[in-house]
Amino acid sequence: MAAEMIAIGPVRPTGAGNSELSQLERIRRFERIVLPHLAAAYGLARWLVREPADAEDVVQDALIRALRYFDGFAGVAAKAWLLGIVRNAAYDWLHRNRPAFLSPLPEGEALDAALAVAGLVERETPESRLIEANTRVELARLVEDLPTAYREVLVLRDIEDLSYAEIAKVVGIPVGTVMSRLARARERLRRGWFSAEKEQRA
Amino acid sequence: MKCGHAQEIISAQIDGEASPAELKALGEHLAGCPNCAAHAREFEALAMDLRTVMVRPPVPPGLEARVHAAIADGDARPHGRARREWMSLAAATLVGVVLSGSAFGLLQIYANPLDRTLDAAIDAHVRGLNVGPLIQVASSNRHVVKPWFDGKLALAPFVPDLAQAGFPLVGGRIDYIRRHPAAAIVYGSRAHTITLFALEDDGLPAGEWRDLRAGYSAEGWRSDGLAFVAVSDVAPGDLDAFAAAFRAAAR
Repeated sequence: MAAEMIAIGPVRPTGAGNSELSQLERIRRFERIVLPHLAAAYGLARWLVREPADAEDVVQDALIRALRYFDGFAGVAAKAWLLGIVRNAAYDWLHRNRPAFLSPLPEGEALDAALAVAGLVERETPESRLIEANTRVELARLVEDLPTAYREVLVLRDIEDLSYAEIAKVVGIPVGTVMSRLARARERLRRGWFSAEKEQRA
Repeated sequence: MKCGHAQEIISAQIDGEASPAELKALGEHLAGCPNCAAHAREFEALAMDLRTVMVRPPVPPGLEARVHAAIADGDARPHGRARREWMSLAAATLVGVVLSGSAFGLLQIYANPLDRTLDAAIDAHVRGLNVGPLIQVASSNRHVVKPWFDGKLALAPFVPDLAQAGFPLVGGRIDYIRRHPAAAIVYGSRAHTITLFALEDDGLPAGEWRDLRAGYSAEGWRSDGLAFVAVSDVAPGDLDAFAAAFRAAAR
């Protein structure tokens, strides 16, 4: 059951200018096509900038931009389109407010080289890992601690279900880089996760 | 195939993005490489555990309204930063578990199923009011609403009209709580709306429970194999009265 009315043809209420009405229609169309993806936008922003209040600012900024670019939007794959804008808004925010979050990825990070994940093992005692609820918490921390560039592809794939091709567009990298970045992100998680478990068993 | 490449294909395969040729080459590699075979098993276990962690945090109640306002204004300034201060205390109650030691504040990690389900129910209530549709079947006649649910859910709830008690039936819809379909029965309460969700039991508490977060009252109970979760911005006392009226009618 549609919650709104769709204007058919040039409806002219008395006194209202044509541009005023078309602006209203434009906003309605935007709300119908783009706003359903608000939760996805907020989710990506949260995973990138972390604090809820900051994520809200990023989302609002992104939606204002999206409305501005809306005329050039073909209307297909609205979620991926919006997430690309959110990602850019998040990175702008990070550059201005948290440049430390944007450390570059290690050059040529080898998948089969030993990796020191500093601080992870010390953070929880072996006893606390025995509590089941905390294992999810621990894994979430590992994800949270990933470099931003790894975390973002993981969010776009595992939460938002974008294809490699779509992720490539959103992030602005080749598809091959999407594949290797995801593999590296998961490899980091695997090492952190399973070394923690081996510690527990020991 | 080198081990580094094999691990990329293992990862791509999780996403369904590996070509048949790559999968064939991977299979041959794994047959002869116990190291990568162990990695592959660990990757799979990791992928399963990751599914519980890689979730969207719930949209804060009120964000949709603030976004609507910002768009309508077409204003370049973010809206609501100042107005959001009153929310900050409520937002603190919205976080399920606060982790000490995490430097960057938190993604919402839930210590128990009630927190996740309740947040999801509040989201669905707010979404129904602000984004819609609020109802898919509009009727104050329970003989219309219940059969409508019957066709759509494995276990359809009993749907009383509680107009006598001050809670007229508005209608119903199918909603999704944590990706599972649930009945959403909508009641009015003077100028307010109460959404009553009926879910398959999701690890919710056995007895009756009440909660208050982010400006919403919530109350829950179990009955007839279903878990009921009522959400509204009415005062807790009113929601109590609603819950009591519903349970009395269902007897």
